[in-house]
Parts: sequence; C-alpha cells; structure tokens
Amino acid sequence: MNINNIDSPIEKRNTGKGNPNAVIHAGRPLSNRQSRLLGLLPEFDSSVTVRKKDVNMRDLAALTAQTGDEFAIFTKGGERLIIRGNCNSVNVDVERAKALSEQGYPGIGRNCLQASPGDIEILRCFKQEVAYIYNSQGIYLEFGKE
Amino acid sequence: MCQRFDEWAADIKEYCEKNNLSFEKAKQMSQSSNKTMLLLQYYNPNSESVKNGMGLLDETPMPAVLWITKNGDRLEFEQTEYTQRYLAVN
Repeated sequence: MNINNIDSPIEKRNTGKGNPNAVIHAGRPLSNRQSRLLGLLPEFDSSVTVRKKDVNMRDLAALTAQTGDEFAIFTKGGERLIIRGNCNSVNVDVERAKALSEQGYPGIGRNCLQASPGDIEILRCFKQEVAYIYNSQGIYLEFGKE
Repeated sequence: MCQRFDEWAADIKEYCEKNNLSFEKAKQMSQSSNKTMLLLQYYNPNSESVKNGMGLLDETPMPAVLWITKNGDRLEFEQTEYTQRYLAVN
C-alpha cells in the first residue's frame, strides 16, 4: 500500500484546525464553519442567528482564540443568537438581557473564564439556573444565580 | 450551592478549620466550577456595575477568594489576596 493512496492519511486527520488550543498555541486556522461564522460577525456588537447545530461553545472558544474578542451565545429552541464583543465586554446589559429573555431565549453562555457580577445579574434575567463561561482554550466553568 | 461544593464540602470544611477560615462564609461565596476545579468568588450586590445594570458591559471579574483544584484523589487549595478579607473567622 502506498501512503499516497490513503484517502485520509494520519497527517490530515488531526490538523488542529478549529481546535481552540491549536488556534491559540500553534496558529492553526479556524474550521470552515468557524470562518463562515466569523465572517458574519465582523465587529463589536455584530450579531447573527444561526441553527443550534451550526455553533457550539467550542466554536466560540476558537473564535476568541483567533480574535481575542469575547462572544455571548443565547439559545432558543433550535437556534442560537451570537453577539460579538471585544476583549473586555459584550454589549449586553441587564435591559438587553431582559428583552432577550422576553423574546424566549432561556439562557446564555459566554467565553471569558472568571465570572463577573454582571454574569450573575444577566443569568438572573433568564430561566436557566446555571450558565457556562469558556475561555479561548475551551476550558469552562459553570456558575449559578446565587 | 453548586454540585462541586457539595461533593467537596467535607474537605473544604476541614481546610477552613485548619486554616482559621470560616466554612459558613465559604458557603456564601459565589461558586464557579467544572469537573476538576471550584472557584469561590465574592459577589458584591452593591457594586456600581450591578446597581447600574451594566451586565456584560462590565466583566471585571469578582474577586477570586479561594481556588480549589482536584489533583488525583486530593484537593489542592490556593489562597488569594482576598482570602483573609472574605473568609477569615471573625
């Protein structure tokens, strides 16, 4: 067997593409779907709604690893709203969070590891009891309302 | 309290007693966790950020009071500059 005939040789399988750790530590590129998502979120406060299956927290961790910006994610049924922030914040205050909750978004996720008072205040606007924050390496912490 | 705090409560209580910290205060701290880590933070409901409803516009982290990490079968505790201020026994 000639290695060139193998359809998916080992060196192609685990490229680290789209892996948050690989993006931040080895300069690996985003995956195709992460790249498409980032194209829909060009700047601070850009937002996009996508199908739930088209994005997860690992994708957001990769986007943060690539851009240095934070992203917030709100899930409602089969869709997710993603809002791009900057290196320090996301443009979601309590009023905006309440409006999202009234629109039927039950919960939130964010990707900067250490919880802030704002995280708790925002979580209290929603029905879910816990929320998750991820850092650019995909490490997460769960926190509650109290 | 979060599930991780409940699971590790006995060890946390023992650590607090050995280090002259208040387990009751530790229970009142905001708790963030994953499978191998528990972070106790001080939540100030009177902070300007909370009073002004800034939400994610101000993501200044709450003071980290005590880091607890599971390493094999044991828990490792790491105090911070805020540990004594918020957990010391009065």
